[in-house]
Amino acid sequence: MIDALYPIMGGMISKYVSQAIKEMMETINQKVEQGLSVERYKRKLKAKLSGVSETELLLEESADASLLAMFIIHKESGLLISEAHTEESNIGDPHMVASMASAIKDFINDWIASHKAEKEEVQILSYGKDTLYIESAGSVYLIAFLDSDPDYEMRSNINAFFASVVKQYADFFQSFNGDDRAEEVSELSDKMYAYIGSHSNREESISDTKPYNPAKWIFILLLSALLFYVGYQLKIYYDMNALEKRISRQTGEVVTIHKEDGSYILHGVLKEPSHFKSIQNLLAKSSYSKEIALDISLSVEGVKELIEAQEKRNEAQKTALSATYQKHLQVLKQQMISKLERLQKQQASLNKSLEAYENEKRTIKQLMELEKNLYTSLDRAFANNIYYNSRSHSLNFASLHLFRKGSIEPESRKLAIMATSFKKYLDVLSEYKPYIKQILLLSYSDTRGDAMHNKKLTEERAQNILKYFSHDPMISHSPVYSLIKTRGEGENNPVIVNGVEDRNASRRVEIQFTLDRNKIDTLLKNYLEKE
Amino acid sequence: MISRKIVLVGDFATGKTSLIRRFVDNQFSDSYLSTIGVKISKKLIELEHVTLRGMIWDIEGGTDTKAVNKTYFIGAHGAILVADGTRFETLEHIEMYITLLQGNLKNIPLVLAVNKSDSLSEEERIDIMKKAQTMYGGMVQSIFLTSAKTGEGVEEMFHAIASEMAGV
Repeated sequence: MIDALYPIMGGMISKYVSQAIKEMMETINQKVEQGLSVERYKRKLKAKLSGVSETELLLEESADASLLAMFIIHKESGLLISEAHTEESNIGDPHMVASMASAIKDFINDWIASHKAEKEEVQILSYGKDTLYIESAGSVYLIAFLDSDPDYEMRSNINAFFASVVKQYADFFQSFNGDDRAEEVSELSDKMYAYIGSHSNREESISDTKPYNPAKWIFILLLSALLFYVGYQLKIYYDMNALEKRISRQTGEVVTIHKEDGSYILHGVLKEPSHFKSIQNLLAKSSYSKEIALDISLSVEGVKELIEAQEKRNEAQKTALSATYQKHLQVLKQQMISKLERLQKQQASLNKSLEAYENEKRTIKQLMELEKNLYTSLDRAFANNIYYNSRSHSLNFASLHLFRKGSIEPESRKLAIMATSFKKYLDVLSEYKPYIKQILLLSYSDTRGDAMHNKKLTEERAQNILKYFSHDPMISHSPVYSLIKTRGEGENNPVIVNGVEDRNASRRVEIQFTLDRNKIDTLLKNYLEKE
Repeated sequence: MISRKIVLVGDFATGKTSLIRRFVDNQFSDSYLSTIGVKISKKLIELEHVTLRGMIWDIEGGTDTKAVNKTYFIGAHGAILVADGTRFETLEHIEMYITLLQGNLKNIPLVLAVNKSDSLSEEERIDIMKKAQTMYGGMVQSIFLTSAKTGEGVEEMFHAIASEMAGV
C-alpha cells in the first residue's frame, strides 16, 4: 500500500520502518544502561515530582527531536530549490549549505558504493547535536535539519510530507533550471513553513498535557531563589575583584575593596595623585559606583610630587603670563606709534590747511584794506611833502612852475626837484603794483588862449616830462614805470582862488594813480566763494 | 534569481582555490576540500541584464595517483579548467579534463585559465598563451592569463563564464 501511495519514496520508507524501530529500541536500552549517571537521578527525581513513570519519561526523551529547517535540493547540480527554517535555526547561507550537503551526500554515497556490493543511500548525517535526515527522491534531495536523531514516528511523518511534495512537484523538479523566481519555489517554501509550524505546535500540545504538581513548582522556586542569591553574591565578588584588577592594570596602584558594616569601601594609598581621578572614573563606569565609598590616601612621595607639580604649574603659568604681558606691551607700543604717526600726519595736513587758510585770510584782508594801506603808505611817505595832496593822494607840482608861458620844454632844474618826489611816489606804488591799473602824468594849462591849442600844448608838455624821466634810471627802472600814461588835460579844471583863476597854479603837472578795482573785486569774490 | 553551478578542475596545485578565494563573497572552510574533495563557494555575479548566483565547486586537483571525483561534475552549468603557467604539463593535462567533462555533461561552456601569470616573464606569457591557443583554442570558449596574486584576469574570467552560462 505504501508503494502504491508513494511510488518514488515507498521503497525507502518500507526499508527504514524496520531500521527506525531498531534504532529507537537501541536508544532506550542505551538510556537504561546509564544507571549510575546523573541523568538517571534527574529522571528519577522528575518521575517522583511529576508522577509520571520513568519508562514513560524515557520514551518521551527519545521522541523530542525538534525540526529546525527543511531543504529541497536539485540532485545533479546541488542547487537549492526551496527551503524553510525556524527562527531559532542557525543556518547562515542556505544555498551554500544545500550545495555542501549535496556534495557530502554524494561523497558518502560514492564511498558506500565503492565499499559495499549493495547499493545504499546514506540517510542520516549527524554532527554534534545536529542531525540531517536526508531523502533522495527522483531529481531531488529532501533534507530535514533536526536538533537530535528523529524517532520512528517523526521520520514517518517527515517521509509522508516529503512524499506528498515529490508527488506534486515531480515534473518541476525534473525540469528545474536554477531559477528560484518560479511560482513553485515559493509554494514549496510555504508548504514547508506550514509543516515546520504544525510540527512545533504538536510538540507544545504534548507538553501541555502534563499534570500540574504544586510541590514541584515550590521546590523549583526555592531552589531558583537560592541559586539566584548565591549567583548574585558570586557576581558581586567577581565584579569587585575585576574592578580591583582593572584599577591596578590601568593605574598601577594597589587597591582593595572590602565590605564593612554592610557597605563596600575601596582602600588604597596612591603613589601618583593623578590616579585618584582615574580611579573615580573607573568607579563611575562600574555598575557599583553608588555602593562603593572611597577611602584613599596619598603616600608622602605622592604629596611631595603633587606639591612639586603644582609649583611647576605655577612657574609655567607665571612665565606664560609674563611672555603674554610682554607681547601685549609690544603690540600696544606698536599701536601707539602707528597712532602717533597718523596723528602727526593729520596735524601736518591740518597745519598746511591752516596755513593756506591764514594766507587766504591775510590776502583777503590785504585786498580789503589795500586802498586804505596804500593811502596810509603814501601819507606816511609824503608827510611833509608840499607837492603831495593827502585828500586825492596825488602829487601836484603846480607850485613848481615847470613851464614858462607857451613853452613845452620844462625847466630842467625844476624837473630834478620833481624827480625826487616822483621817484618816491613810484616806490610806494611799486609795492602795490598788481593792483595798480595805471599811473597818470597829467598836464594842465590856464584858461587863456585857444582851448584846442591848450589841449595840444598840455599833451606835449606831459610827453616831454615823461621823455625826460625816461633817461633817469631811478624812474625808468621802477617796476611800475610801464604803467605810466601821459595825458594833456588842456584848460580843464583850472585852479580858482576866491573866484579868480590862479593861472600859475592852473598851469601845472599832476601825478595820480588808479587802482584796478575789477581785478581786486574778482579776487575777493573768488576767495569768498572758495570759503 | 538564477543559480548556476560552476566547477573548477585542474591538476593539483594549479591555484584553483586561490583563484576562488580572490573572487568570491562567501565560502566554507578549506578543510572541506581536503576531507571530501570539494569546497563550495558562492558569488553573486552582476551581468548586464541579470544577476547570477554562482555556486562554485572547487574540485580537488587530480594527481598521478588520484583521479578527480567525477560525481561532483554532474549538474554543472559551466566549467573553468585551470592550468599552472609555470608547469607546462598541467596545460597538457587539460585535454584529459575536457574529455572527462564532455563525457559526463553535454555542451556546457568551458573556459581555460592559465594561472600564476605573476611568475612569468613577458616572453613566457606570450609563449604559454600561444601554446594554449594552439592546443585548446577550438575546444574552449575563452582562454585567460590569470593571477590569484595580482588579480589579473580573475574577474574577467568569472564574468566570461557567467555570461556564457546565463544563456544555458
